[in-house]
Amino acid sequence: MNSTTAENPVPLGARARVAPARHAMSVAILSDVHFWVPVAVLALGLGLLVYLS
Amino acid sequence: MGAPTGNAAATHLSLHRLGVVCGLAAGAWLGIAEAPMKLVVAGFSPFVVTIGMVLGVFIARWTVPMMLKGAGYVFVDVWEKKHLVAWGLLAGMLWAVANTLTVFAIRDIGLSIAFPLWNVNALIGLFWGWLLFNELRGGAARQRWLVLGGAILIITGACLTARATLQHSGEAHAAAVRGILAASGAALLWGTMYIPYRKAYISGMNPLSFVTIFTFGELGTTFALGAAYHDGIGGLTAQLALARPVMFWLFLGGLCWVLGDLFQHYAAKYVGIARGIPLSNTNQLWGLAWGALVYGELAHLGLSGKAYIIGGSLVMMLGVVAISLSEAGASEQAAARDAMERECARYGLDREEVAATLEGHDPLEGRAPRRRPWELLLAAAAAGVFVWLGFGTQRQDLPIDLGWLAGLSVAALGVLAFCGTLLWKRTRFS
Repeated sequence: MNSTTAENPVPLGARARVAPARHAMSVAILSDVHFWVPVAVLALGLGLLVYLS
Repeated sequence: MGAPTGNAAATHLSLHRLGVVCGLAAGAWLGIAEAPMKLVVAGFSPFVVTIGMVLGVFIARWTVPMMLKGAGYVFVDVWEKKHLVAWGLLAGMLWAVANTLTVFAIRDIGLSIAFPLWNVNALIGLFWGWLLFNELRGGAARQRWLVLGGAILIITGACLTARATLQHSGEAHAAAVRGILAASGAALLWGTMYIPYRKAYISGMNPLSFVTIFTFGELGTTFALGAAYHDGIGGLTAQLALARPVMFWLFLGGLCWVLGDLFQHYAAKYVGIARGIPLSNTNQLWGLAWGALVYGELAHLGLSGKAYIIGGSLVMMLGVVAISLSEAGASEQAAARDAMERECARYGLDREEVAATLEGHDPLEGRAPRRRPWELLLAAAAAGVFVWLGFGTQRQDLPIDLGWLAGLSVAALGVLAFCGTLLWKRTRFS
């Protein structure tokens, strides 16, 4: 069962779950090959801007 | 999970037809967005013009979704699909960099050559849709050829109309190469920007929620690039202050842009990017109509120039008809469901709920918080910004045909009312 403290009424278990959930989401995004296509194209576009300036 | 709402019963309109109508409405309003911009006389930096427009876009992209669905709805939608925040920001950044590239392209090769070049983004979007999201797969070859042929016809039409206004400026070869590089880069970035769009919609996010994230990436990157090209924030704000007398027109252009962009997002959601983007690229026809009829820009054209415009417009319309006829069959829809399943598995989304949103239902409607009174205040403040800008606006010395101005405005508002009503009845803006 999740316990709470007087200072923070959010259950400790819930707080403990936040960090792993965020980590899992980051891993899911960064390991998604779809994500790197627009990132690579954005880098190319920025490089082109520098070249054209 | 909330049960899908039964709003589909309100009308039997197919989602394919709805998506096609949204794509055409997007073309109308994205084209109209160019009209107020024409009132901005030369002398301002293109970056300042872009930032002015993007500021208007930023205000409208928060206000319109809030008025249509409520701020609580948008927050809940974003909270439940947090992973899409990164995608929305990325899409906004892609837009901003592409838009800056168009500044270079226009400078080096002129709008008439640059415009059709960056319109190739439809083919790039089509390629990504096929490669990453199973669009045009599994279906009959006839559908694929209709979409591909339609997209090529629309781009060819754009080239023909641009040819009519082509000016031989005697630009140096090196400048021409730079301009072509910039326009091609813009096409690549804008075509790739549709990956996050499609990603969001096969994950069940509402387009109204997605644009509120998108706009942060767009505004932040536009400001950063503007500051980089104007010796820092101080130089940029000084330039913006100089543009105060024309800021109303830029904001108005931004508002029109947001309306067109929203329809484009709904087209991307309901017919995919392969079909939706070429349809919304018909904005050139509307831009041309405003330029030619309201501002009399093409009055000097000879017979051959007019023939190019009429021929180009007809070719574009043929492309529209071809894409409109290419409704996805059962096997193509099954392939699209596989793409949706991939997102659900990867990001832990509720399959039934995501499938319901793709069928035009709105599972979030039942559990979103009620609207708050401060939302009305925020909308009033946004309207107040437009009124305030309107008071300080300088009258521009440009010949305008008031009859055509009224006619095209009524036509555009009619398109907005018609398509908005269809979207509301069929999907409740889901």
